[in-house]
Amino acid sequence: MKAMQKYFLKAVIAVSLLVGACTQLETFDEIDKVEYGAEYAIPLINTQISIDELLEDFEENSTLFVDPDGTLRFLYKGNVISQNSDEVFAPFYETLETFSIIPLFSPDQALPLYDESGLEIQRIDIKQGQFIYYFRNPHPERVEVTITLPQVTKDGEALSFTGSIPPYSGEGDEPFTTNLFAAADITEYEVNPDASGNIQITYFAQGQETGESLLLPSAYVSFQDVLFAYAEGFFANQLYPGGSDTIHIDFFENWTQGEVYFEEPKVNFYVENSFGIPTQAIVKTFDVTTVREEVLSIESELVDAGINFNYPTLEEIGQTKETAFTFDKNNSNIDQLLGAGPISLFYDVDILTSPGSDTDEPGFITDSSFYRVNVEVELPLFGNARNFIAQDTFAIDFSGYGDVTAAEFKLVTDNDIPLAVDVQGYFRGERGIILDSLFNQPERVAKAAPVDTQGFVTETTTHTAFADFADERFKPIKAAKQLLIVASFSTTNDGEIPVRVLGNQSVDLRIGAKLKVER
Amino acid sequence: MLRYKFAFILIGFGVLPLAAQQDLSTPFYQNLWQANRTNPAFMPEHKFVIGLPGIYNNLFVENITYNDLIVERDGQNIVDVDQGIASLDRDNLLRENLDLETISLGFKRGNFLISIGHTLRYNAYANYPKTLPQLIWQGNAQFIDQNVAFGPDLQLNAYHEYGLGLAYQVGSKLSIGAKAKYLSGVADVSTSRNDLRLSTSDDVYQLELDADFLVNSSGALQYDGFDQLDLDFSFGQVETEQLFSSNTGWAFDLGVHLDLGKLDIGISALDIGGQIDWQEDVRNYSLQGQFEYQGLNVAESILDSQTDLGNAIDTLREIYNPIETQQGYSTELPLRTYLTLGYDLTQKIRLGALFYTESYRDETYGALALNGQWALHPFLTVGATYAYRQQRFDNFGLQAIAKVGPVQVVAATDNIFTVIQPKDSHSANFRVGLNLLFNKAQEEDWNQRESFFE
Repeated sequence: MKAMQKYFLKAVIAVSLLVGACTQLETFDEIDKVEYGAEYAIPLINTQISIDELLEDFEENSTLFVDPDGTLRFLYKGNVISQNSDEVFAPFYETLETFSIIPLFSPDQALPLYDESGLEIQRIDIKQGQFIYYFRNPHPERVEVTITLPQVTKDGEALSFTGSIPPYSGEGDEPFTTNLFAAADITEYEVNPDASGNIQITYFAQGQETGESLLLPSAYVSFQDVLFAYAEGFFANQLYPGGSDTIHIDFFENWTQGEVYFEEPKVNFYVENSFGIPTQAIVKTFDVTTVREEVLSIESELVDAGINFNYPTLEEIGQTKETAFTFDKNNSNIDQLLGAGPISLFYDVDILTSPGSDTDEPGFITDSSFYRVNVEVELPLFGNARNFIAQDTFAIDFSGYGDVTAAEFKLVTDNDIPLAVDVQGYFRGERGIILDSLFNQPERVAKAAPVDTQGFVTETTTHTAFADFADERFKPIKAAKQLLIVASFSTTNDGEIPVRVLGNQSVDLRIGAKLKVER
Repeated sequence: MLRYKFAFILIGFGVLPLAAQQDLSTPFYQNLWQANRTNPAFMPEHKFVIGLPGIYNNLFVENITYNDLIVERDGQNIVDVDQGIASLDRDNLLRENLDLETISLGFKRGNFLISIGHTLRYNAYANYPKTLPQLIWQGNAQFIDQNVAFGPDLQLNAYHEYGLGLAYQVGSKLSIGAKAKYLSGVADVSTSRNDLRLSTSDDVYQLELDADFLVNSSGALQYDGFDQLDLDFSFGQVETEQLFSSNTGWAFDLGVHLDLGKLDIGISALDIGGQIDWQEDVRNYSLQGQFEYQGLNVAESILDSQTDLGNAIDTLREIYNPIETQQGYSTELPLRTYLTLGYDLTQKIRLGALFYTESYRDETYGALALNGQWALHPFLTVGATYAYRQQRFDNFGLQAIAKVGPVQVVAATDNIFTVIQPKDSHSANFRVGLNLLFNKAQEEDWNQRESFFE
């Protein structure tokens, strides 16, 4: 019965439709096409881009600082150059290693500790070391020998040893005395070389039968594993290699052309020094490589004269003294160097101790003495730019635009950054082939905010730009995969006056589109 | 294809072969069994009547016709949306009713008439502003710096109606009738709030949607995303499983017929208190509040080479995503009233007048009709109707009732122009029906009838 109802109803419906205006229904079924032309207006982007957010992403190698007046500055840091006392003590150790076994040709012999002009060491404290002596007796009587190093003392007592050597029988090896197998520990001994850098080694050998003073032709001493804890004296005109480094500046990474002039660029040297010696930094090389592949050298009186470090005095042993010196536009041509589009800064610095040796004050070195040199490049965003052009590539995808046949993009900026931006873009298809440009001519998309005499922005500017892609232009670019944006930046008044870029400055960027759809 | 369906519903629904409840012909033929549907106090001449399947359809489409929307070009039928929209007015009404009268029975005993019957009824109502199709198919660019209201007021539903009627002859001149109708809902899509306003800024076209919109659906509409609107509502296609559903309601008809000899007067009110409570497969989609879309905030990724402006469209879709709930709801049926006057000019010629009102969705619509009918032959009666409705005067209808033996056939239309020029018509109306009539009551001598004017 239920099935009959179903069929009955269906029959009724079928009859009904036949009786009705079936012709029109059939026509609906035969519709071949739906035609319409629509234009939809939608917002695409509405965002605020602040300078500090923008630049944090923009720069990878630098740190962004904000000055008290709000001015932003990029800080590029080089690697730390450091040196310790090993370099200074090295000549002494070399001397001791060179003369590992010292023959004593006379009972009173000088041992030169160093042979460096300008050095005058008055005191050395030994941190560790051993002293070995060796005497042979060629005489037919027993000999008692005493060896003394009067300038090597501990608690006022000179380093001294006494030994007894049996008489020589005339046959076989000569008898000897030595502490070779129980070397004397000279840790914490103090060495006071004379003005020539020598220490005296004396021995007195006395025949036990005759009571006479004898010579021992086979007499040797040796210093083993000696390390110094402290040295005091004069270290005049000693030149030590400091080190070199390259600072990479990626501010201009996307640069293609144009000029940027930083009003107050700086290169800062920060030195920490615990050597108790008057020391000077000698800038051997300070070259800037520019985006145009030029290599420019710094010119400065500081470079010519050298830069003196602060150092601790004898009363300040163990302290570290800091020194800062800065290359700026007042003492160098640094503004020209950094205004030329620098991409790297190479510097090579040597260290000269007690330059000119005109001091009466002795200096000192401890085994923990060091100096460290930090170099920083500061680029404060205070200056002017003219047609500073950068470019970057963005991936784009119009696949979601389906039936869109034409588009008009509208870009509105409310700018309180003193930078004007002109943009041209190029749509690239597969393999980077350029399909079309964004504008017929490079188009200003943001007007620079005006500034006062100090370079501070006085008001926000609004600018509107359009990019029209009529039917014939839009169709080809729907295949685009990349958009190459070439942006030209100029500061207020086309770069004629210096401006300050502050962290709280921002630009409100809004983009909308009218999209035409036709079917 | 779903979009097309939606488009046709909004713009071209009226050109489909459908019908309406503004029946301005049938009430003039009060002895016709179908007339009892317009006034339960109308009694047939026969004591036993079987109403076989019939159709009643009435359609009205304001401002737009088939030819406004569809053009033939190069041998192709093309929906010219722009041309269709151009013909629209600020607000545009669409009414459509289709009654599939399956079967009915009438027993007349003494002064009583008892009737039962089943009808499957479809009802479509759309009152939509021109701005709606403009926004959809022409875009919002034309409304930059404007606040545009575009919310449509919609109702589409289908339901089974089971009627049990009783009429009583009070004396020789007056008859009264009532009918109780049990309603079983098949499907419904209707808006209960329809305030939608869109502003497009002249800056970079920021959008603001001010919405207080709620569309309810029972077994018809499913929204799964911006591009996934599934409207499953087809006029004339019936699921027999829905004969008795959980979507239930009641409606009542009342009528009076006063026979003053050659003059008679009928008054009726139909679908009084008519309401259906929709419970099956209910979905409610609402948008309420202000939805702003300013564009993507891409400050964090402005230098990200992977920034995709296509995301803006995706975000736009997410913002305007409606909230879905499953709360049962009710819809009301239009309340219809008839006032009919008939006058027997001669034994074979009868004149009539009719005033009709319909109250629906806070609006009341009226219609006025004049009728003349001529009994050409004992087996054939023909008639003509002229009506004014929906502010249009071009409503000229024809009716024919034929009877062979116990079989009675009726065919009627309120607007013959629909048949002649269907593609240029704003309305379409017809009735076809088939009745079996048995045991005719003794016919009154016409000459013995009192004349009201004498």
